[in-house]
Amino acid sequence: MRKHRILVINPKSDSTVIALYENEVPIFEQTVMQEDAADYHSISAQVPARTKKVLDFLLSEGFNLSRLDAIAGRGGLLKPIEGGTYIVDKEMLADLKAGERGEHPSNLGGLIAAEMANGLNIPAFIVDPVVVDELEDIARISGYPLISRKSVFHALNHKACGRRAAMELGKRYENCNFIVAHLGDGITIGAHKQGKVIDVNNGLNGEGPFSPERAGSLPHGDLVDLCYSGKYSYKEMKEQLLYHAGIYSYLQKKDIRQLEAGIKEGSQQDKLIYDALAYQIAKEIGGASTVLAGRIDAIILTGNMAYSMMLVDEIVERTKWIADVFTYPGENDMQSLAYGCLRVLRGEERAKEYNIKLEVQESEYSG
Amino acid sequence: MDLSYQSTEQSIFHELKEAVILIDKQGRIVYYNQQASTLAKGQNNPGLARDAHILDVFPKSELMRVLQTKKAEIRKLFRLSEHISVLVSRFPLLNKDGEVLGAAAIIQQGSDGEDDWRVGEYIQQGMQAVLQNTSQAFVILDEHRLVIMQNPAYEKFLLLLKNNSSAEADWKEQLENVSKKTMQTRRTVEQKVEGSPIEGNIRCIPNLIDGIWKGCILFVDYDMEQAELIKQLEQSRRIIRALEAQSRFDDFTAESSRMRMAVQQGKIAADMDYIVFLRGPAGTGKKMFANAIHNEGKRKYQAFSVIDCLQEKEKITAFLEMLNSEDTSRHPQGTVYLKSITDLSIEQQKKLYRICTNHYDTAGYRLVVSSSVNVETAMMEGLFLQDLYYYLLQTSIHLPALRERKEDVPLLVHEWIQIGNKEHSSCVSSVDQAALETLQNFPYQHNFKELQAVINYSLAKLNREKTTLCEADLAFATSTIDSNQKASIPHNEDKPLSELVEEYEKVIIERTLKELDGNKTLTAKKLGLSVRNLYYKLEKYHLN
Repeated sequence: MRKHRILVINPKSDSTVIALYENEVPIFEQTVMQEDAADYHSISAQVPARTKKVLDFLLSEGFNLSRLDAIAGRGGLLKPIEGGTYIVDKEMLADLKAGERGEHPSNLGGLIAAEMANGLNIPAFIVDPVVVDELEDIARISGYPLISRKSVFHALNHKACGRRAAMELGKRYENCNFIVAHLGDGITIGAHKQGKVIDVNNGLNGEGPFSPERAGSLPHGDLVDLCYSGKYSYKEMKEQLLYHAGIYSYLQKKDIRQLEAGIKEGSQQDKLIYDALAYQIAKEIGGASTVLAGRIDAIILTGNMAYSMMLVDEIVERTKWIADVFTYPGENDMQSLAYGCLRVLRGEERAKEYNIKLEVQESEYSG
Repeated sequence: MDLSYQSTEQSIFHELKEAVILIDKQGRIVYYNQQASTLAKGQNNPGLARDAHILDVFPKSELMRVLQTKKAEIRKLFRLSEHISVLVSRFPLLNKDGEVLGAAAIIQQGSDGEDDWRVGEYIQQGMQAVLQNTSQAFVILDEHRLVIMQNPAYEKFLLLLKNNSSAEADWKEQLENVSKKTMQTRRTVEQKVEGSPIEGNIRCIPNLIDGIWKGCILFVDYDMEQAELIKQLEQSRRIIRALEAQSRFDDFTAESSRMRMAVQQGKIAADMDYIVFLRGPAGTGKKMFANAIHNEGKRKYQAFSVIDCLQEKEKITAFLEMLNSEDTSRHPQGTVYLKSITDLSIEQQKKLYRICTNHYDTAGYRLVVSSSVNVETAMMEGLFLQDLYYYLLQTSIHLPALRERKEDVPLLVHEWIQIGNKEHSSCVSSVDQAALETLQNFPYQHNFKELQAVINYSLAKLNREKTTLCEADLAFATSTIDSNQKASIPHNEDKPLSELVEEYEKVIIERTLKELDGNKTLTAKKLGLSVRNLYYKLEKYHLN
């Protein structure tokens, strides 16, 4: 089998995480610090400096840039698109540079990948950005016409887990139905139907279960009362719900391992909140099962909290009647990006093109 | 001239701590002071006396030599006896016309008296042993801050710095600053070296004699564990570069003047944009050199592509078409290395010449081309375009064959043994002289590749416990070197197939040439080769 060498770029706020893959095998991973990131007036202004730093680093370690076959970058805040591997083209670059949908370090993924790939005569891709939106129309109805349900979730990890489970089941992801629960700082639980995430809670904007620091779904009446109570400003309310809610607001603890330690010591309060967390996650999974009409190949638990045996056991206890549960703790973004790129290079999938309309157009490039 | 002294001068000499002896040009003692008398008596000599010949009474003074050489000898360590050493300065006494009148010896005693004569040498030798063997790195500078002496630990430290240019620059700057500050302040100066890949501390102690600056001693402390790790990291990176086929000029062993010149030319070319023409026999590292030019130039972040003009006919045709097109967006980025341009057809060479002369200056890409055959011969035979030849000649770099750079062979051998040890789990640490000479003098046909193959093959077959590679251990792939010898079909002597094939090919070509009275055109036709290809093989097998 031919070896494909892929460079993966995952920009963070003050660093760039890079990894070198040879087919599925990671041969190198490093975080390249960008101490002066805050000095730039915009995200896109950092591209030349970050690109040079990454290239210099790779060269200093002895790697031959000419041996690269493709570069895969983290997708940024683009227009809503379907999941998949997209070739970084002029339109995408323009949107990322403009940052009209928000300035975020992940916008740099496609920009840096394209900058490097151009000089190396190889393609640049992004894979399953956070803006993946495959919701069915029915799922967008919120019950209030001025507010539409949106798809904002951990698309990269969701889809990577779905593919992995499909492979273990001996099937294609596009032929399976899964419920994927990403249990991290935010919790997103999605219904994957035949390769599309047709419904998922908006973990960033207050839907679904609460998490270590975020409030989940709240009764809107009480919320409106609180917002207009005069006690908190707009900004304060936003920060409260995003950073000072969830487990932390009850117990002043952010790590569920601290709760587990408290439970072992006999803390009833810790147990209550812990059980409530598992309860809400299971309830959301149950809800997703109805979206898929009970036809589910597997439930997948992933994210950092999935490392907790206690939490997994509690969730499984409530959901095992729905389908088998697979656990893939943590999240390996770098691997997911590399695999997405590899599928295209091997011709298993066609790279998609980014354009104005939501419908997908496939490019000629197929590896 | 009267060398006898007035009483005043005698008094002065008698007051000196040092022993003073004066002789005339015949070697007769003219004057000596009390200290000299005491010194000479202690040596089982009859004792100094006026008009006595110096050789009779004090032969060890060695003053007769100074009469002949007419050269001063300052503060020489002089062994009086088994246990006594002194410092002696000897001067010729010359008149205004430069004629020798006599000689003088001034013998320096120890500051505390006669016991110092005896312990002087012990201390000296002891000190020498300590200085040479201490792990503390230090260097002694004179009053001009020039190095007088550095101990082995300091030399080791310098070698360590040499492998890390960033650390080297940091430390050199700090050492300079600290010694300068010490000179200015006449005080001990300490300075930490931080933020460098190798961190540590410098301490500089002034050497003052009677308050006068005579130099200083620089002590260097560095984190040896960190330094060792850095050294290993550099070695690992070098191995990675080798595995990645990613070359730099530092990777070329260049002790020989020819190779040094080639590397120097390469470094200049790396900073420029002109087409580089690399010439040299097969196996001299032209591709590696082209890669180094790419990696040390402004295109290092871009692609380095290789097109073999002999093996990839379609690719080179498409490439030349692309470069000739008006649509510059199709032009490649980075460096393109065209291997064996003598294998291009005349038409292709004309295209290449047009590319070079028309719009290469404004192109975003860079070309490096090479040839293993003698281009002049090819040109004279009508196989290489004259215009292109003269164009490329301006920027050609010659990579010498191993036989032209024999002094590099031992270093290459040692380098490849280190790499080969890892691959073959051998532990060879040295090569005996006979083996080195054989390796140096062997007429390699494939230069580096062949030498490397010999080393690898020898290590692979070697007893794992052997630490020295001897001549008998060497495993050469080719068994015949004299082209005048009658070639025979090589026997299967446990050689790789590729080498057997090459040996057989050489034999067949040689035979066919002889049969056809050296007619190359007919030989090419009979063997089913292009004339160009035949010339290439003749060059390769040294059958010209």
